[in-house]
Amino acid sequence: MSGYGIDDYGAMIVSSRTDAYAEALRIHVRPGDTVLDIGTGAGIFALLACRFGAARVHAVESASIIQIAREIITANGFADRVTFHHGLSTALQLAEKADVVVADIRGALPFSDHAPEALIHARRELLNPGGVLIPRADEVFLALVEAPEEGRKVDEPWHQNRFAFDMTAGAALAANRALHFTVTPSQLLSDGVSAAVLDYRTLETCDLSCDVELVARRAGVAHGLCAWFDTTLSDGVGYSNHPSQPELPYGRLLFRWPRAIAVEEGMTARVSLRARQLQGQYIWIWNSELRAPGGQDAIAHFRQSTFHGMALAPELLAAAGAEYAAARETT
Amino acid sequence: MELADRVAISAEVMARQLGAEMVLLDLASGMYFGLDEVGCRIWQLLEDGRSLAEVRDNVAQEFNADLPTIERDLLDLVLELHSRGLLELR
Repeated sequence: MSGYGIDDYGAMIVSSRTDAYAEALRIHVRPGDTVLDIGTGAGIFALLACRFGAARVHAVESASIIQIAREIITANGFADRVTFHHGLSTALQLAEKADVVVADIRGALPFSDHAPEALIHARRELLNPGGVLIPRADEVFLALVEAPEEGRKVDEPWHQNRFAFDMTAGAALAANRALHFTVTPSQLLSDGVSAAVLDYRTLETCDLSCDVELVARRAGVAHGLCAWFDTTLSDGVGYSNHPSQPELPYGRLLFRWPRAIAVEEGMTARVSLRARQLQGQYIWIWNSELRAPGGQDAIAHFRQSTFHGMALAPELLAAAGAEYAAARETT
Repeated sequence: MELADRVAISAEVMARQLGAEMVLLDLASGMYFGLDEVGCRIWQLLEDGRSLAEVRDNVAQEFNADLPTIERDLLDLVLELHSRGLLELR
């Protein structure tokens, strides 16, 4: 996980997700094994692998927390067994392939930064045949959600300010944001519907393209889509990041709509969700078509993407890419 | 490329107007492309499903330019966008 502060890494150590990972490592690490720990953070999985008998642990981390991990590994007497690699695991080559690959590099969803790419690469290039991937699989869910505060927080600055300036140019961007947010089960207006299963034993793509239909279970005011994931680490070992479950380090993601929609029980939302990894960053596209119960015509149709929520400037794009400039000069 | 050709915007392309310009993101390649003011207007008309002849006529009128010049520039641009996979021939 990158982009975290020391408090986040501390919270991960005591999180219940670490208990589940510890159980999966206890099941799968055998004395003498080689373990690859992708995104080691403060080194907790590397420590556990050593405790369960790993002869060699390759700990990969691209963030500065790697130095703390080194000190922690040394303090626990495992320095002779753990080799650190600074950078991305996708650039790693191992002389001895791993018997177990362990990783928790997700964000609010498994489609985050290099996460699926790293696991696909590890399975193909860094894992022994018959080796074990932890996690084994993730499943992504979507539900209709009430989230008035999140929308207000990101919209209001562009519509109202005490200086009475017109700042509305930012409003269109704010309407195309996928936000980390805090959510309780009472805010969900529909059941969670499975949008994707990522079985890392067979996964071949880093991208997502799915269509789901969400049905409101009660009347309310919908502000968008809540997304979370469940994970299977091993047989009978896993956890859920459903809003009813204890808070985990990932948070949940809100794919907000540009305006709130009053819904009645039975209203449907047909959602097309895409995630496309571009240079280690995900572009999200979510198109939502809402229909009244039994209605033939859509009462609202939103086409949104994080591309439309990004602050872009032509001169910066031109400076960053020759292709951008080349096409510009054709007219 | 000819004026009678029918073109459509690739489903992999997202467009966003920045001032008078247009930024295109090709999800297939991950590349950004830019269009100037005239190119931006051409793209908008293509988004509306206009034929190339209609695009030429509209742009010539709106920018007060002569038809042969606009037609040449239009076909050059469409050819360029097609070669980069941003437009598809129907």
